[in-house]
Amino acid sequence: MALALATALLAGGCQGGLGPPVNLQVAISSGVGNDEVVRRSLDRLASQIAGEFMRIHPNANLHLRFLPEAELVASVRARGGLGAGPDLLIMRPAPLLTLKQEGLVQPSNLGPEELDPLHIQFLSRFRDGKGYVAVPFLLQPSLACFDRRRVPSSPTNLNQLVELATAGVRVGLPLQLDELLWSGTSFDADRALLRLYRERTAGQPETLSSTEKGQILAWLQWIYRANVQPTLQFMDTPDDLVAGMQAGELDWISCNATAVSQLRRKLGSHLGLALLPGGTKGEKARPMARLLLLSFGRDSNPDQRRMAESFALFVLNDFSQSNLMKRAPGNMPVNGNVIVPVTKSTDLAVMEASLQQSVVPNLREGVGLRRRTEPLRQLIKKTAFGEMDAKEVLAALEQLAVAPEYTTPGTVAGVERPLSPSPAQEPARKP
Amino acid sequence: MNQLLYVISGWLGMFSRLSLLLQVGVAVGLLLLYRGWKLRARPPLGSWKPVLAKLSLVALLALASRLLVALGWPGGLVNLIALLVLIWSALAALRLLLRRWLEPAQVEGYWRRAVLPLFVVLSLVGMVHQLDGLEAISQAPLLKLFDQPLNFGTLLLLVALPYFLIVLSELPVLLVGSLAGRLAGLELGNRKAFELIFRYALIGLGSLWLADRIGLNSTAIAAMAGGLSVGLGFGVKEVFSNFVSGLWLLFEGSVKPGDVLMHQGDVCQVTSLGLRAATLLRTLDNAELVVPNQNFFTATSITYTGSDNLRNGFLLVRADYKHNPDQVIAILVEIAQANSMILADPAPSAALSNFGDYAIEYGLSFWMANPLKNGMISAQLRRAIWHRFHQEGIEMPLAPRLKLT
Repeated sequence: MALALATALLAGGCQGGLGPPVNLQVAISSGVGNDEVVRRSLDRLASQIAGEFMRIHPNANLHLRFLPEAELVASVRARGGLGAGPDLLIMRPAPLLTLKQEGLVQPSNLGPEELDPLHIQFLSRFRDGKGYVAVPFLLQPSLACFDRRRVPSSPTNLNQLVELATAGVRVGLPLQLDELLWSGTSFDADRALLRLYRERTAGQPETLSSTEKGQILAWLQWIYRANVQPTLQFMDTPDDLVAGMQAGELDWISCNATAVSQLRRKLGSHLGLALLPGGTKGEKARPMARLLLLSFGRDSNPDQRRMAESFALFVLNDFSQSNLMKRAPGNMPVNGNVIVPVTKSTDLAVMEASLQQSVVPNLREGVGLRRRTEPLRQLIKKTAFGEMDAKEVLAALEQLAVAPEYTTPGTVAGVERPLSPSPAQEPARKP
Repeated sequence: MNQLLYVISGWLGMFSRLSLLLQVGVAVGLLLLYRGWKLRARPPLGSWKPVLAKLSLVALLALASRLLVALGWPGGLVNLIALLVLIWSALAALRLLLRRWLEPAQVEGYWRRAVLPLFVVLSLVGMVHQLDGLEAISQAPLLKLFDQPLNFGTLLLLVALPYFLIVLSELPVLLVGSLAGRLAGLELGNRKAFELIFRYALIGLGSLWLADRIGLNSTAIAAMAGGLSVGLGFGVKEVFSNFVSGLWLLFEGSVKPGDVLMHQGDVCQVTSLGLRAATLLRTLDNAELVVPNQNFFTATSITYTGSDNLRNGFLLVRADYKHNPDQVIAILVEIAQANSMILADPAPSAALSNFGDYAIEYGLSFWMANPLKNGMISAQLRRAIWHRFHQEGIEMPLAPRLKLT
């Protein structure tokens, strides 16, 4: 009976195909468990592009499996142990390091011939031998989202933001460090923190200079002062901020671009998008843009690997990247050939401008921050609510950087080489 | 349906990988080896040899898994199969042990109805979970039911849950009943009633959970209730009436398993109270009577186990007019007192009940703890009275008969 079913399915899959059917398992992890807004956006997007790819390759059957980031490594590890690991992974950089170390992902066979014409940003960061351990897929910038009825124009610096809150505008900021790091720009605290939490081997701690300590201290004190305003609220997750704005409880929030379509459905033309506020001396904010990656599984057979690479090239080509940018708002292309129509769309113009200022942390910085998400959230919360003095928080931040439970044991040599050449805090887009 | 087949086709993609095919080949080879041994050796039912053979199979599978990993291949699937065989071996060992303590037919019945299907279902679910996760297949839509999409996971629940709920509830109910009986000092009958109510409650809760899980909305329930009411009005009226009567009797406690009652002139004991009917054991001829529950609900029931288990017996004895009634009464009481099955308190008593046409009639009244023993006690008393009267020279005159010549 099983044989009959298999034959029927195989025969069914062949109809109109260009060869025997190739089934691809695609694991998609959009973010941490509670990153619901980004997850929904990515689910929709992945289903769309998989459908388009299957129209062009009728013998390809893509099976999409959505997983929270926290479960991705465990799931790939468990299935990899059976030889049933995914053929392709779409994820943010944080899990890549572990997957690479455990040999659960394999460098792609895509070479300069296929990839060079696409001018993919940040590609060099993921070089591993002759191939790439991952290929950048999309960028998701951070923005200021506001209700035009309450905020005619978005503040351009932190002082104006606090003044806005003083004037009664309800402002929402996240407690998650990677989403709040832009506010450290005017104190230069963002660079120091990224360096502090860069993933490294145990026993090689990064230390802060006295200048850096002063910068972080100034930023922590700003957080405390800002939270004194009754209309300025710090919330646990970016999802809470989006929900607050949808419910009409917040007028100005720091948001990821993937939340724009959801907010637009609620606020319509009243939704305003702007760059996040910079420093008081005119320096622009350096928000962290999210980078999505494509990576290839270990267990694929040659046909599956070829099809997975075809799919990767399909989603990276000029046509798909341009399409994704237009149809899935908030997702910006990594393909350098794609021209962002900034004159036709103000939303895209703001997103592109944000990317020009944004920082895409390299793999080690991204992993270091993501591993410490929860303790960092708690420390920022204690700062904001005055439970801990800024100096105590600074000491705790330094301790957290060397805490053994958040430090990779052994070596990270496997990924050291591809990461090293990439400059830290390279802007997401060259102006 | 298409989506379900599409999800399954994804597994075929996995099994096109050499790493998985190799593991399947190794596992199937070893399983066939075991099967071959079993066909050749034909171990008798109740033998420990198959359990030992299964454990050897587990060891071989685990060894093969290690070997594959050492050679650079994944071995997790072989390991997973080894784990399933190990669980199966443990269950087989438990089955053999239970056969020693319980009735083998009872063990085999529970094995066939509950353990085997549950193991198969859980093994399949576990395999799918490990290979691909359950989300995709359980959410594959099949059809629409009452405007609600019915997916594969829900259908599986709809089929499997009621079955396992009914079959598996048997054992925990017995355990809880036994525990409750000990803690609360319940009598057998009350314990049986408690077990039955507890089982109905489990099945009812499970059904409610299932209805909620499949997303039955109030309109659907109303539609079902409408259909049911028509059905109740015609075909299933009696069934429903018996079911409700059975539930009512249990809650009321007027008839419960273990009770002794009079049914159609015979003393019977209630052995079980089912959804439709009660089963009574008629001790006189060891016949089992299946009596619809509503009979107890609508007709008068005579029970000996209502407020207590005591039963009063009565025996009519005749003695000649020439004997002193005081002597006869004393003898009758003495005989009753000598019977070990007759209670001392309330004490047995005898009385002159009537001056008959040819003899004085005496009534012997006595109490017993077991209402089912009335026939036996009466027979013993009659026998003892004859011997004692014969010994004492007390005559039991026969009714005068005319002899026509």
